[in-house]
Amino acid sequence: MSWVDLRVLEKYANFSELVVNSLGDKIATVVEDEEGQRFIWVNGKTIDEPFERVNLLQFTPNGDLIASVQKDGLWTVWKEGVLWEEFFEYLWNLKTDNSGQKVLANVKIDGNYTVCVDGIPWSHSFYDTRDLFVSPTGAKVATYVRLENYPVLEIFNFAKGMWSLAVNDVFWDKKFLALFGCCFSPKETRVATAVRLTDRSFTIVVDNVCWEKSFYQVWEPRFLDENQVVAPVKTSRGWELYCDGSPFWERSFTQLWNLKVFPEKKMVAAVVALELGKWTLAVDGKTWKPTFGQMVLEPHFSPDGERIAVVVRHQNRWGLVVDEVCWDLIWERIGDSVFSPKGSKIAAKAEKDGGYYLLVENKVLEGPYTYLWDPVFLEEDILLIKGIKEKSYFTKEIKV
Amino acid sequence: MEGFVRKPVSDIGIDKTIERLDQQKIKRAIERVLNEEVTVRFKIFLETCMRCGMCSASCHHYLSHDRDPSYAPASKVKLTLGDLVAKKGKIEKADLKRYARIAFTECNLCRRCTQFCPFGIDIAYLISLVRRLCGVLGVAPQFIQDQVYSHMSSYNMLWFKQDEWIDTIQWIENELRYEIKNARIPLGKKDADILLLIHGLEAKYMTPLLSNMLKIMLVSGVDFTLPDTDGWDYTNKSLYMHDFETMTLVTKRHYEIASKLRVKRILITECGHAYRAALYESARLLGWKEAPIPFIHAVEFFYEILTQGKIKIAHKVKEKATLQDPCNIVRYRGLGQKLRFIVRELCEDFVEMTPNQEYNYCCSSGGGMVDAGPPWKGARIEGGKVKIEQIKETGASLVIAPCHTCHKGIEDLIEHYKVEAHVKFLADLIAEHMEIPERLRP
Repeated sequence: MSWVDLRVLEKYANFSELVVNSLGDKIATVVEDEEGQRFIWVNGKTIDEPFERVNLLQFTPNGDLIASVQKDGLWTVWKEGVLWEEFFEYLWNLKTDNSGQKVLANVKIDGNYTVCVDGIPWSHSFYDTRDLFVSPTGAKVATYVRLENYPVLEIFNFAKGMWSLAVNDVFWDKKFLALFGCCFSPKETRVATAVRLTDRSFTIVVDNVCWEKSFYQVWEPRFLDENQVVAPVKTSRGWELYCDGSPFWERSFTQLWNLKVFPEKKMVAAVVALELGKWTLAVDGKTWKPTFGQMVLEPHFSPDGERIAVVVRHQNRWGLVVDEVCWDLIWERIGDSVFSPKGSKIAAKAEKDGGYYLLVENKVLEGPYTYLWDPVFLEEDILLIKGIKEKSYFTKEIKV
Repeated sequence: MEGFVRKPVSDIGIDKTIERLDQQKIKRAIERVLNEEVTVRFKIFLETCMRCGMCSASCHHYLSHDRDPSYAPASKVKLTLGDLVAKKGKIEKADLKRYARIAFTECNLCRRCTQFCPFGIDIAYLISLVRRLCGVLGVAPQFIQDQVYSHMSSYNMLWFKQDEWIDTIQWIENELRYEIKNARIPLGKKDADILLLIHGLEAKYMTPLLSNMLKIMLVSGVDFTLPDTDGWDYTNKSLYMHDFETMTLVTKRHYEIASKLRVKRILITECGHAYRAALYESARLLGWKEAPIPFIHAVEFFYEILTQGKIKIAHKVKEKATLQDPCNIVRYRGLGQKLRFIVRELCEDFVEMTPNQEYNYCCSSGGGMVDAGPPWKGARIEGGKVKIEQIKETGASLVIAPCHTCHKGIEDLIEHYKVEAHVKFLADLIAEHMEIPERLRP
């Protein structure tokens, strides 16, 4: 067990949200002195020089600390004490790939917008960029780009489409009214997104090629494998799951979204509404028996794809449902399910009456604490918890 | 159409779009809306109306136009859907133009008339169907369409860019420090209690109002955050043209951000239409019976922090004040009593408009009329004669309007009819009159 006294933060004029790394041995924040200078603070000490602002402080998956920082009015990326050479008018959507090696962000240069990866801006810039997507190894980086800059009120020009997708500094030639739900294939060779073709028609585009059919509406697509793409589409029957432009599941739903694919088994789980206010999960087209009145969030597969867990909200309380079995729906807040490496155990943090608790297989093992971050399985039966108690940050390994 | 005489108004969003339509497109849209989308309510309502005229005098447009029968709610249905059904869908472009004018600029969807209908016919629903039909064809006031195109791609009404949002909030944070010691505005904070969403105008043209709202949040000591990405603007102008596709896209985004950040509640500032969309229309189109995560209006929030003693009013407003009951939060949602509690806490001399609460008249700008822009300003000014008379009768110099639409609408009425009064939001009044605890003073 390790401890960091957080009372020292009270001597600063301000401090921002605390972030911790995966292994829990580092806790960081941005502190501000009375002169308004911001410092990055790690485990009780400020490090490096002061900045005018520090935004988006975060630990990468490999444990590096990164942030966007402002100096002399301009912005750049700070990574473990090293700044990118180039500074920008603005920098946001700071992200990394799954390994944490590649760092990227949307940036503004001379009034135009682009993407910067590891300090090197793309050669193309745009009237606007929105949202940033990175494939698991960082092989592909995508952002929505605005290719036309019609003035306000030019509705007939807006209707022609102004937006497209740029992938690795190459932008698609097709223009759409809007794009949303960009995703990559498992081996990162392909890119898909939902698009709005006209005021009232939508479709899915894969590598700049539209599905032949268009629909009343679509939601975010997902790759079923390296080539096939599934997406919820709205037809005269209601919401249906389509694959590559053709029906994939037999039945339709009042609502269907939040797709999750387990590529190795080509399994698809989706959140569905059977009727108004009757939500559940459908796995490969078969719906779960329990239904919930308010919300079913994005499903999570266990590492081997054998188990599925979802967070649900019913009668104003949150809880987890695992393989159709409801855990206690008693929480005011619950975190995402965390699977053990082999999937035999599930843990989550949950909150009630201002106290945070650790749940493992629907049993309260720890708590109440002032705060808990999501737990981490170190081994199949060893869980790391990271939390705050009595103004101290602590980590603790427990056997489960 | 006999009895339907109006001054010509030019709006390319309606006129030019209609010019470009062909009969096949119009036919397909009618089939889609009336055969695939409407529910049994449509037929029952149309067949049940006895033309008894009880709804006429409930409508501010009818009263403001010297009881011209063509402005009566039942007439407006007859001149639109009634006409469409009588012609079995075989309508001319001129008919469509008339439908659009009536639906977008002569009915605010305020629902006052429904309370006077002996059969409870929801006339706003019927007029909404006309808007939906027009919307499917892309026929709507140009200014509304502009905002809807912005919502489609950026989830805000004003084409605001992502960096502009974060930069604006951090600039406001700096400014707030002149009033609140070490003010800090969290963005994208996970596990906060409240997700505060704001009106697009507050981020662009009305930053002092946003600043006042944030000041109240800070003084009340609640645990809150703003989004750090698209979805921070709660407005949903697509409601006005019943563009279900954009409405649901926007509302879905709001609840997604809330569930991703695991907040307990969503709070919006003083607005009517977005509250209604998120709680009713959009929520149901998405498959929810109700808001899946509590979605509260600033009136509910101010009531809560005042009754819980989280803020205190240091000195009351002395001038004579009256109150506009926004249709979407009072008639639709019953916030009238909470609203009055706040106003009485704030004002020494409060006088009611007559009628008030659920029977109050619309400001004549609701339902998108203010968003329809300059071409239709005259229409809402004309339709607002009843409202301005109501205000004059109170003798108040301060009109409290806890809704952006009401606020702008009444401001324009006051200016046009030269009434000695001014309009304020609750947030402005509370921020100006609340106590700032010693520990928060710079």
